[in-house]
Amino acid sequence: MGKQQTDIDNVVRRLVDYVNSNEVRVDPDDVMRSWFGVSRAVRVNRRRRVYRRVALLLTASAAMIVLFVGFPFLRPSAVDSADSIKDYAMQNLPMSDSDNDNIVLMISDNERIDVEKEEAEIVYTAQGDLTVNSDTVSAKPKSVDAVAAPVYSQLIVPKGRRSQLLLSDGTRVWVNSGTRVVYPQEFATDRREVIVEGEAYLEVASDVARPFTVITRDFNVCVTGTSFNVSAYPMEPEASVVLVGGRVTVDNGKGEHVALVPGQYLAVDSAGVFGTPVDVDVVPYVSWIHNMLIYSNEPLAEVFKKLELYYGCRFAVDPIVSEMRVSGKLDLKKSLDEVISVITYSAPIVCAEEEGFIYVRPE
Amino acid sequence: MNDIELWKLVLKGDSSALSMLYCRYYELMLNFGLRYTPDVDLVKDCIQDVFVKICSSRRLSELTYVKSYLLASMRNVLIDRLSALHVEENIDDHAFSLDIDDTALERIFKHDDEKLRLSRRLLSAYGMLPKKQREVLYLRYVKGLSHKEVAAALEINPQSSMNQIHRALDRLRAILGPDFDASMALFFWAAGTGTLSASL
Repeated sequence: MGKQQTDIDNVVRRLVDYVNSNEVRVDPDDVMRSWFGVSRAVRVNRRRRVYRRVALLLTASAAMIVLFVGFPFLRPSAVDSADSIKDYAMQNLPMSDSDNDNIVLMISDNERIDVEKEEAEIVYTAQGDLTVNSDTVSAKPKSVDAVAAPVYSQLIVPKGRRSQLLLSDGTRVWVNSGTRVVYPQEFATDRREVIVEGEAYLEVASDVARPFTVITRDFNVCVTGTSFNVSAYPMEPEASVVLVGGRVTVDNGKGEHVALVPGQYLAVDSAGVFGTPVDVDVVPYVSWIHNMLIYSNEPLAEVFKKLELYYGCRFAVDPIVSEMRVSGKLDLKKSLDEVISVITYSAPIVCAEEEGFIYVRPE
Repeated sequence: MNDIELWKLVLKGDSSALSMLYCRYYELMLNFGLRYTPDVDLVKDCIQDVFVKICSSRRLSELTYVKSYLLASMRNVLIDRLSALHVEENIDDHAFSLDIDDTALERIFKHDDEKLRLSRRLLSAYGMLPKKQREVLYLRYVKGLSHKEVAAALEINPQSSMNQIHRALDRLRAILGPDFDASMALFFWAAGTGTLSASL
């Protein structure tokens, strides 16, 4: 016990020393110089405060004038609609609501539906009527105002939940846990665009006149009609697209694009750099839509990561266990306990719950 | 001049006193901010923001822990900026992750396989702790702040700060297994009462 104590003592001390010695050093002269940036900013702020009051009065009156005179002449926005859906998505981040584990559908800025069930089925008919889990939510009045700005809806699926979304054009979207989807209530006449932050599997209804684009943070996927899986969780270092049928083009907004054929997997890193498309068996990548997790020689750490998302729980995985590789199939319609017992049956590990975490250790 | 005296001057509007505090804690604030994001320019911007806000503030009051006040302000400004930039506000996973790569570890524990293995397990266990606990452990054991200073910096009460440390140690103990049980607890208890932090 004595030796162990001094060992740990020593290890911690050396680690702490290393961390400290590895921190950034700044030249005192540089620091002093940067102080002038502060005093400058303070002076500028003082000046700005006076100007701002005057400017506010001016712009308020100007805006009113434009409204009265300009309104009848307003045309549909010439701004690229991709930017406007992205702006909407950026400005309307879901509030971090840790008490709320429900699936939330924000129909518009002021209409919101919470679904307490584990899965939600959201269906838009061709006429635009909306049902959630078979309850009609709203019958959309026929839009008279052709120049109205697009209204966006958001579907927020937290960890431990999943959803299916059937859009008015017939496109079906399976939405995985921890995912946010933003889409316009009505698609434009020349294009269809949705934003996916997380993972979704899409069966896009064929419409050659209106190409369909899935927008993620680092890349877009363009299709005319096809089935594919997009995994683009903002906190994951790697995103991917897996094509099941049809054709897609993935573009990273930097002038680069890759065309995929069915059965191909494409990785995209967080800088938007493409990997080479790889031929894969698509089944493990899309099995989640049938509530199955299929894995082939995957490190256990990855399996537990997926379970965390699916069940909304937290695992603390021992480093030895993380490296163990497993192949198999899990039925996620079963309870978490049943799934864990399947894994512990096939791998030499033991699981114990402590203080909200499930610890996974070697047997 | 110590922090409290300098701050009293700042309250009277003495900007050279403020610039002394700036120079004194710039490096600490920079490294603290870098624990939340690798974006150096953003962190430097936030440090300036903090001091600009202090200059323009009409509501400053006396302080016992100036260093903590600066760290807390830094943290608030940085988290605000980060959540405006990131679409996903969950920076929790990477904050305070203490990335020490394996080649560095091998160098530090060159002739001792046991210590090397121990250090790896310690680091990976640390990586599994929630952000709040990593923040507390970093400020307390790497930066040597007292419990009260840590609490003021993270804007929690001192009892909560001690609780976080105990919870963190419990978790480390659970992750590392029963072998390290008694010895770890003793080590950190000793450190907590001041016998280790003196040497930091």
